Amino acid sequence: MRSSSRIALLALLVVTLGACDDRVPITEVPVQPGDPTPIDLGTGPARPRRRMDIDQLDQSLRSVTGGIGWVDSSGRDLFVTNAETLGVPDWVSFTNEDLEASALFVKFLDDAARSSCTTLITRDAAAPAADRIFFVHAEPSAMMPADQTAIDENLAYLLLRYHGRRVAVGSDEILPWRGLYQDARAATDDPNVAWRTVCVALVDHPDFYTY
Amino acid sequence: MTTRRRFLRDILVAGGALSALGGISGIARLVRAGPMDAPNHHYVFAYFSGGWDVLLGLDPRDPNDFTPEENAIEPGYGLLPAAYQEMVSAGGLSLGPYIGMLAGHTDRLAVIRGMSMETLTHEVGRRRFLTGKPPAGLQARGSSAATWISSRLGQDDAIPHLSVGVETYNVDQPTYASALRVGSSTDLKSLLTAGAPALEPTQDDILQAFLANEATCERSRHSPTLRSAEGARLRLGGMLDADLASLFDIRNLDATLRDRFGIASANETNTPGAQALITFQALTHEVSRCVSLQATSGLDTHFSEWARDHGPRQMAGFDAISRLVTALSETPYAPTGFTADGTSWIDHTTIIGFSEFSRSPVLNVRGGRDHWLGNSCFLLGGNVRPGVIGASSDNGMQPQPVNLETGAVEPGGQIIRPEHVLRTLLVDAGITNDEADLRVDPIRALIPV
Repeated sequence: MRSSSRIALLALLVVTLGACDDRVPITEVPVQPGDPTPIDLGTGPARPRRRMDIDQLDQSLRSVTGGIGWVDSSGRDLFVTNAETLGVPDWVSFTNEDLEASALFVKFLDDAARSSCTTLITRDAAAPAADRIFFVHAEPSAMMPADQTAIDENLAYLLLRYHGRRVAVGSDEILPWRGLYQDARAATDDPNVAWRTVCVALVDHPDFYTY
Repeated sequence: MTTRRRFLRDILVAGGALSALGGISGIARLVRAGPMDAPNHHYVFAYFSGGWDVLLGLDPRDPNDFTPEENAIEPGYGLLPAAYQEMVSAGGLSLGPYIGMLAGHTDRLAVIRGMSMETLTHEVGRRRFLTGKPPAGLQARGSSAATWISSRLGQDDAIPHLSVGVETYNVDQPTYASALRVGSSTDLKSLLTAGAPALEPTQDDILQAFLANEATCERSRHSPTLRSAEGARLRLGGMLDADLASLFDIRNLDATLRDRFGIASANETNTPGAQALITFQALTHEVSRCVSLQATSGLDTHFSEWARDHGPRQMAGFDAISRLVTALSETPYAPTGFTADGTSWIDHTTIIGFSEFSRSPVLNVRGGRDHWLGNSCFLLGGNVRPGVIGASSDNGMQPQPVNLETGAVEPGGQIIRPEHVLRTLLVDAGITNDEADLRVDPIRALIPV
């Protein structure tokens, strides 16, 4: 249950995180029927996005976490265990997969994110630098502002790895993610906890599971 | 409920912050809505999966009067176990041998007979009964009636529309009205239980604030998929905060409560009785405005298993609904903000039982029954007038036109289809204009609307 102070923190954080990075202006161009004026429809903010199906999500999570995925203590793939609940067709009683980003989907995605990120951060922080897949450009112990460049480089690398977005280190697009890291880091003494929050955010973010 | 108020307060705070950055209309609507805006009506959609045999339940015929040779109707009761070879007479209604405990509720029961489904395809019949519109091919058109009702009455509920094993559709209603779909009580409990490993509370707050901020982006606000995802995230947060999982943990619920729903073992988490219990909990604890459940399944009996399996499976569904009606009848209606007035939950809850179509009135050469265009359905509770509306014909159990004001078969009347029934429910829920575009009149003989 959230306390009042946590709710106040939540409201404050929404403001301090700053505006998102992709406020693309929408320009209305009035066109009459039969008007030959060419209109550039582009691939702007209204491009329909589609949710990954569960097989795609499973593969994607395994890919970005270096094969960890979402497994139980026995190593069983929980996307497979929960396939029916998640609406994966069994090709007997139903053949269509519901691709709505429902509350059920979001819940299990978040469970998968917390599970895989906990394992990934622990494993990666202890691995030699050459074997790491999460802390590639920044050490887990990197601190702002001294290590800002390294942290930004790591965030840019993670955005490319998780979301397929190539973001310049000095661009505004990195700001919300740097803000997330800073807020998470300020709230804990353990840098791994803060990076885990970033990892979970990368997976929970719609840019990970939609395309 | 205190927990829901707290949820709304959380949303209010977050919504205010988000509004400063562009806002999300769904949140504003959540905050604006209040419990006093909604009439005290609740709805249960009970789906009998596979195509039921109305001769065994809702539309029986006396084997002495109806024969396949003269009437193209073959009750086949002689093929059934000895205890189920007779029709049941209760409260002035004639019902089939497998009507089960539902026969004890004829004081509230309305049966619609002689309906037309205009299809012999499972998906088409099912989706037509859910939406009131003939699908395009197999694709449903329009939102489910439960979605419409949830959008109008369920703004203040933690889970406005809960669906246990039933398809639902939302093509034009607010995101919060989309059903929370689960396969069983186990799924529901898992959904409502915070996952492990948990984040520290402060880290979780930071994460949620970040995701909420991302949802204010132009790109997110203009994408139906991303808006839906954000709506789902907000709903999920509210559900987890409200600590609802214990309400649906059948294994740990009071044994007396399980007994009321005929649940013999705590491991029965997806039987018709378990689904009825989930429905009871969701309604009476003010979690949901509408619940869709699969009352029973396995009714598609084309072969000789019809004589052995169809009746018991159908009766399991009737019994589950009957137990739900009994439990609702015994529970005084006193939700938050409502002064108890001596009514019970069944006085405020309308239950509709339906199947995608019925089975052929004549047995096939394999001793089973195939698909049939005609159908029946039943309603009870709420404002439903008990009795029989319409009738199938005495030759081949064909649909017949009905006077919608009186419920009597009448030349010049209308053939009742699913959209008539759903239009009646929508009007009962306060959606008096035909906003769902069903293009039919309500059945005033069924509910005085």
